[in-house]
Amino acid sequence: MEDLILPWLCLLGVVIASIAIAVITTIKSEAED
Amino acid sequence: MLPSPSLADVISAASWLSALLASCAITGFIARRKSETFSAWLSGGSAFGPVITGLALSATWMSGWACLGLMGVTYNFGWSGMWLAGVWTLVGIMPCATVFGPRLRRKFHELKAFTVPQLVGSLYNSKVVAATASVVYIVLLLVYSVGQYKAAATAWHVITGTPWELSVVIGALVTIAYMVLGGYTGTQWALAIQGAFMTVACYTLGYVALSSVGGPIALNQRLALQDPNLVAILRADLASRPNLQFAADVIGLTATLGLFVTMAIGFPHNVARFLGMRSLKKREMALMALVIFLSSAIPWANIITGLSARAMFGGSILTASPAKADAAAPFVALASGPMVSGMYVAAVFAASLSTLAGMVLVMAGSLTRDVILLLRPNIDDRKALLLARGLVAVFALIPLTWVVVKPPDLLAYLMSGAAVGMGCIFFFALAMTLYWRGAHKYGALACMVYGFAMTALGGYYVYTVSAWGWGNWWWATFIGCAATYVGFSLLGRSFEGKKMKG
Repeated sequence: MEDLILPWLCLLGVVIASIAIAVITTIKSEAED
Repeated sequence: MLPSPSLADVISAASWLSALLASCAITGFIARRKSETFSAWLSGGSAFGPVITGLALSATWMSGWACLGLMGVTYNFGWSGMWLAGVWTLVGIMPCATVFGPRLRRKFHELKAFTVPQLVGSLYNSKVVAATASVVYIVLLLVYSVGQYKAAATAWHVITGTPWELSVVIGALVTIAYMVLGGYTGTQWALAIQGAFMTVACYTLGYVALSSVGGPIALNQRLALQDPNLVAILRADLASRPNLQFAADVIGLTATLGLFVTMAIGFPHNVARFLGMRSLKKREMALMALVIFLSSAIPWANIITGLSARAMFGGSILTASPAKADAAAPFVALASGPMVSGMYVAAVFAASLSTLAGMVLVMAGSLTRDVILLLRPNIDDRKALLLARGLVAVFALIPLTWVVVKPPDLLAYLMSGAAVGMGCIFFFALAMTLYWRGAHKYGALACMVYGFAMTALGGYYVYTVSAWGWGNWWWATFIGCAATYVGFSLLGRSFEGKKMKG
């Protein structure tokens, strides 16, 4: 069963990492204040 | 048992495609009136806000590869294919848009650059760098653009049942019609429409595909029943095939991450989107990030579509069509009914045309601006515009001839080869130079020569004879580009220092 869930967990991990990167880079962006 | 196209699929595909072309034609017509000078033609305007810029960036970033080829990868290799199949899409494009984007926009304006190679050259105050960048971009973009034609032709071929050769011709005619109607100017508006179109279609297809195989766990159960390797996140059984290292080991996996981070900023058709962007405030930047997040995340849905295709049809697609694994998503669309199949055809055309338009504009504009005008500076503005428009036709036809004569086997292989070159070279020669004051033109030139040579060598040793590991090759290209860029920049600075003292 773990074998069937593991790929989904990997995809979920990438999704969470992507959200974190999107939020951090947007906050740190050089847009005008 | 594979589904067959019905008359309803043909009508739906033709209707959706007509709707897409009509909306692009209208925006193209509006934009044409504004493109009376060469500079205006190149920039396509400079007051676009966050939503349009975000959608346009997603449209150029998401190519025929994203909407068709990467389903072919997960169909072929199972879950381990997701590393190459765009799972890192946002890890690459978000920093490009939010970190590099505003700085690129400012540099375009400060240095009065209208093409990406011109910007690269201006960063080093060197026309030789601009001309070299132009040549490197053109050669690699030609390779990349072959994939756009193949993607459009494959979707049309499977969903309407039209013979392969005729599908290529139809794809070409649609492309030419699109170019003539003015869409080639790559106006942010036309690109934005295409971005919205493919976002809706790919999410719909992914949802329908996953539902029809019975949900997430049922999908993996069906895959595991076919072959347990299809649910492995890295496939040790592929270790003996170096060109498939991206699905086999950690070096290959990390190289796919590096590929997506570097190519987001390495693609000139992505960078060119910031030429037309207006200055954004923090809140607008957040809105752009949200738009990009939603529209550039479609590879996640597409990965699932490719896996669902494998669960539904087994390995039968590999022998059913001249497009082989690339036909996976079109078959899923066909099985989902005429409404979805027609929308999907239009989405693949949208993805292919937007990327192709962005690339052809870069190639034609840059060859005129950075090479021909450099050699013949007395050509007037009107002639330059005419020349660039003529070159659009040339650059649109070269890859088309390639597709007709010898279509590439798997779209993703071919395109990732060109992407490795563009990514590794311009991650340093363009993006790092925005931050490193020590960068020197010798470093940029050495990096371009090394990266270009490695791309050519990879074309043979990775993709043709499969002697080099794909991941090893990416890392060697990346590290070598870094070393030549830094090393020759330091040497250049040291020469200049000695000259000043002398």
